[in-house]
Amino acid sequence: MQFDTPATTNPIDNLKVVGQPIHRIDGQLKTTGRAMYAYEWHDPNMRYAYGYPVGSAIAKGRITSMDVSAAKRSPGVLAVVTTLDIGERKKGKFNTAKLFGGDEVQHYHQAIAVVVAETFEQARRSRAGQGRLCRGKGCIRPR
Amino acid sequence: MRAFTYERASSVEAAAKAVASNAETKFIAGGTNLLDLMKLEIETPTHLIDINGLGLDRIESTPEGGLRIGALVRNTDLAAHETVRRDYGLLSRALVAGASGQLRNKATTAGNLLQRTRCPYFYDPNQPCNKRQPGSGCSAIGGFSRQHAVVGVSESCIATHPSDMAIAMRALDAVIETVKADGSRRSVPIADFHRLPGDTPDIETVLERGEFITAVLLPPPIGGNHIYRKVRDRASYAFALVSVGAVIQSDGTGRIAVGGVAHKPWRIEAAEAELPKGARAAAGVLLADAHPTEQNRFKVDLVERTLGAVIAEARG
Amino acid sequence: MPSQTQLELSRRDLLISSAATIAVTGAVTPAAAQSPGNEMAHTSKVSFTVNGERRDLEVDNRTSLLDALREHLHLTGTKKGCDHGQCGACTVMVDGHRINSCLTLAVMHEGDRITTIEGLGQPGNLHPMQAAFVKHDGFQCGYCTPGQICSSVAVLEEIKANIPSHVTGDLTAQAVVTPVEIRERMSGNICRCGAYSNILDAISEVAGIKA
Repeated sequence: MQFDTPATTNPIDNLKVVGQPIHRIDGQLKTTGRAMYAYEWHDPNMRYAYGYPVGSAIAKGRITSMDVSAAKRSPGVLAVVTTLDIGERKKGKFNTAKLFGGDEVQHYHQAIAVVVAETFEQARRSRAGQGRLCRGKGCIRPR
Repeated sequence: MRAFTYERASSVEAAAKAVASNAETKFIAGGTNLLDLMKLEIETPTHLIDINGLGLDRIESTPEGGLRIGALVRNTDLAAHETVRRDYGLLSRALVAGASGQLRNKATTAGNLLQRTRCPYFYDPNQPCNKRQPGSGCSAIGGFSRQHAVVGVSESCIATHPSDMAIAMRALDAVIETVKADGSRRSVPIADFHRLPGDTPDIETVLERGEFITAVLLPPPIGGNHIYRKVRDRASYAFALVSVGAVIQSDGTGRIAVGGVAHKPWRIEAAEAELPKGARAAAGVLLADAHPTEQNRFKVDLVERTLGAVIAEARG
Repeated sequence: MPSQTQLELSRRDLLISSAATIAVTGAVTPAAAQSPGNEMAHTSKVSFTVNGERRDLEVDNRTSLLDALREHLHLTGTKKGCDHGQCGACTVMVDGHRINSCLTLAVMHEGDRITTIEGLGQPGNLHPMQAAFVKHDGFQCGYCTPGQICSSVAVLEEIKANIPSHVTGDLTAQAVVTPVEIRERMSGNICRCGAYSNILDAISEVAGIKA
């Protein structure tokens, strides 16, 4: 763009578009609780499961093993997926933190597993009910 | 949250007995502290007894000219009550300085007294905490202790009691009325109700298992200027770094209780005797045995300055 | 666009009255609320009225009122922000009082009358507060908005009912609506998008004062 002629008034200066108190098109939906956020879409024909993340109890280190057998036996639990189940994954172009997968813990409460259960309360309980999924020396090596 | 069975209490006595007979049974009233802790599995009852329907939500004048406040009176209702605003203004001021409108609408008088510390290490089950797990250690000592206690502390625990209402009740000489599991009743002055941590920070009050708070009794009004001054990191919706609840009479004498500095509301009658001499003298007695950490040392000066501001405000 | 007349109010009754609420028949059982035939089960039946309609549920006792509304009744207008009573996104009205629905159990609300954001108004038939939020752009992502609106309706009712706040000057005088009072009373509702000044404008307009 060449700036070689005097600027004249434009639609922004005229405040014909910018600066007008135009109502947002989603306003009526958001203010009445009818706007559907991603989690809130509900198909009555589908059965839904609930996932609850398990956060690392250490801030930095490597996980050498995880024992999820007790979590898997908890009421309503359908599956437990741990970061060790997923191999280390390459970061995408815009990722800063590493993706879920692999054995490295980079920050406190980093998600190291997800518990999937039939209800939210069951998923939340089983993650905690087992204490840490990873117990004992050598299981997590803090750095 | 651990799975639990649930019932609505049929009577105070039955509820007290049920809780006394089972260590994993708890009362639930407003639930604004208990459910918070249950979600984090810091509290793990297997049976809850809902005590909301027992009619303990009245505020009544007593023949002696005092006020009996039912244990289940909501914080909002207590703060808004005509007699409280007029004759026990410190209590209204303290109540509305705490929490949010939504929480005050649900929280109860007894629940407010019984609420537990917000120490972040207490709240993190991954961290050692003698209150949560006796003997495991205190992460706050040597950790981030800016918001912790400066007085009445021990090597086991430096947590504070978070309640604003309790500060006002301490200054107003409230008495807590209870029913025990065996049906016997007693009255506990609030000064004796909350414990210091000592070696057993997990034991926070003198209540016995199943002991049911039915009401809080306020003595007849004492007049004076009622001021609650809360110093905190935000203008609203934050716990106190330091708070001062005071009733100052026109001759400069009065009562002061301090919040944010100890495991219980902090009041020392000998400090009150120094009030006419000013904030430095009074604060000096109040915090004579202070053992702050490097991070919360500022609270010692802050108490004196806050008290000074309160005295100045009372003079008008 | 909402009509201008919806905003020309100041002192009319703001809460959608539950005068039309269907009376909940059937006495509350004073003792156990457990599912019958199930000795001390971890689930219970509970019945309450939501936005004028009676709802009967059988839920895990651990179910918060918030999750009962969102997951069981599919009324997803009320939002889960923190699930710990710190953000206010879960604010609903129970028997005319605003509470954090995340810090209460569904089973504790037998017989109660609950109003959610969906009950205050619908697209094309907005509650004056909802219309004001649209007019003054009191939102961006909209996630805190239902809680903000439920709270703000309740705040104006609380002032009318002479409930004092931290910034109330004279405790013995009738509470009045001022911008300072609105700010203090709304402090239990936080907004990551920072729409606060417009929220204040919206509430002030409905209250009939200058922001």
